[in-house]
Amino acid sequence: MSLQVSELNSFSVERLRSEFPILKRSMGPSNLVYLDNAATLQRPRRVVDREREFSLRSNANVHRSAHRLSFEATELFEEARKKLANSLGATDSHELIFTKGATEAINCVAQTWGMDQLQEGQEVIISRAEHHANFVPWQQLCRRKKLKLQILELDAEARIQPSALEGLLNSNTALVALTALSNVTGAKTPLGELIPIIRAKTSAKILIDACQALLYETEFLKNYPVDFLVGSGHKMGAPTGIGFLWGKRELLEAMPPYQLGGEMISVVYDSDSRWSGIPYKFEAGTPPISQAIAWGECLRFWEEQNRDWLDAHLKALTERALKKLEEVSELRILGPLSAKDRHPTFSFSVEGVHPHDLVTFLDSKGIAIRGGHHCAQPLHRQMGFGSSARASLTYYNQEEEVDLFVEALKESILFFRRLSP
Amino acid sequence: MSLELLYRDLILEHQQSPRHFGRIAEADAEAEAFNPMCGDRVHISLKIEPQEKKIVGQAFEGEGCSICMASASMMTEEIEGLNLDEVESRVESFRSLMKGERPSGELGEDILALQGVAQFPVRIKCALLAWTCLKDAIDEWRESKKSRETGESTADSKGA
Ligand SMILES: Cc1ncc(COP(=O)(O)O)c(C=O)c1O
Repeated sequence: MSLQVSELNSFSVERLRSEFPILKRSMGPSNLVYLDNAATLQRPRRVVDREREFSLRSNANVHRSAHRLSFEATELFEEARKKLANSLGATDSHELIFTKGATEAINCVAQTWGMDQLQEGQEVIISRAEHHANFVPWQQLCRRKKLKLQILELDAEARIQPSALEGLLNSNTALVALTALSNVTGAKTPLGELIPIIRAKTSAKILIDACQALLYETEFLKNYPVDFLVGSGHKMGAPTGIGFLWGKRELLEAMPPYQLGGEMISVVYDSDSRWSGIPYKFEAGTPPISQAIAWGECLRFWEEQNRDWLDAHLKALTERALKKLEEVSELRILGPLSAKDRHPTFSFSVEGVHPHDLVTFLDSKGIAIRGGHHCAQPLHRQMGFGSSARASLTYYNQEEEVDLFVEALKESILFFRRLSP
Repeated sequence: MSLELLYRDLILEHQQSPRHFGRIAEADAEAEAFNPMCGDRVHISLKIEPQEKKIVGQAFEGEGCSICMASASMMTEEIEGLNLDEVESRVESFRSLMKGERPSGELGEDILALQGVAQFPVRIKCALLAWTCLKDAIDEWRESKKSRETGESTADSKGA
């Protein structure tokens, strides 16, 4: 017992931050306060070191040559696949396809499964909170195949309500594609409630965009038995240029290939070809090899941190940010107002100050936030926001940074309203 | 780079009370431009006197940051009563100002308040949006005038 306590105490935000060299970078007057983690997470030194080491020592193409170096690279690449499958809670690593990112993974499902399997009159449900990556591919598929696109509307705090989904489900529903955690509102989708409802009422397939959730939810597939799952490495500290599509074996096997070329074939004749088995059928061309190996290292890095400590710290950050933001009367939050429904990703507008101007003001103080529509125009339009500013926090952020951010926000309001009557 | 240099009082003043804000009901030329990065949108409408190709009415409308809105507002003042060649030369001058160069031609005094934007590369697009939109509107007007004229002349020759 006492051992556990001392173990917990040895974790601290300072220690965690020391693993991320960029957090020590000076940005003019002060050190970087990085609050744009929903766009991309910073990378632990170990992840960068691992990619570098692979590149300098073991680099070779995979699945191609019989020499030792290629064998080694292939082993490392496939080990990374197993590691990722394992951390997702998948039992069969062949169900895991490496892609360029979550965007490509969703497009792959829309272009192959969607084009091949869906029939005129069937319905696709997405939520109002989807990132364009999980919105536009379905919108366009529906136009091309004459399917009905159903947009699941949110409540006043931009949350998905199970009853609202229930109202849309019917025997024509072929797919429900939802985010697990919104990159704009920070709302956690109540998948534990939604999945049984979908399964009970329809035979629709379920695709989950777990981009924002993966770092915070281990063994996702054990908790949430879905049909397709997608994510991007860079949202959890791995390099850019790599993501994944996980799908149930029988679905992937029935799908036609997405792109054609090397690696994905078993035999090519003059007039026709045969495809490899999964996952290779969907991995045409040279895959992101060093990125996959670095991702494996990233997963190990997070596993070595203490989950209880991380979760408690994140909760404290969320509560502090909500409390502090409440002090700013000019501010309107696009998302849940209580800590229990949300992750510390806060999108908001400030009366009379455009988000882009806020970004520039905070940037001058070394604080990186984002302004715009965060790849979610239909959400902003529906909720009556032209655009918003977004501060997104993660494990390595500190309560002091929350305070700095809110102070700067208050200052910016005075600055931009200095001429207001 | 100081924020005071970017956000001059004149800029905030234009943002708060934009000039020529709205749409001209029966515009001779109009265009709309978007900045997908931040969601800014600007719509320009113009009344053009076709003989002298002179601007006789101008309006803008849209939503965006203070740089974008102030730039659009100042622009509508800048082009008042000019002919299209002069307008295009001002667009070029403004572009050079945003590159941090000396303006290639004449520019009004107010516009120089936007000079500081050149030091903030990420914001240059915001300042340019209205000007790009203006250029689009003029290009389109010229195109359609040309096709109207050739259309008329073929109609004439057919009639004859
Ligand atoms: C919720 C969500 N879905 C999809 C994406 C797309 O990810 P990527 O750009 O890495 O393909 C992102 C990130 O931009 C995201 O936040």
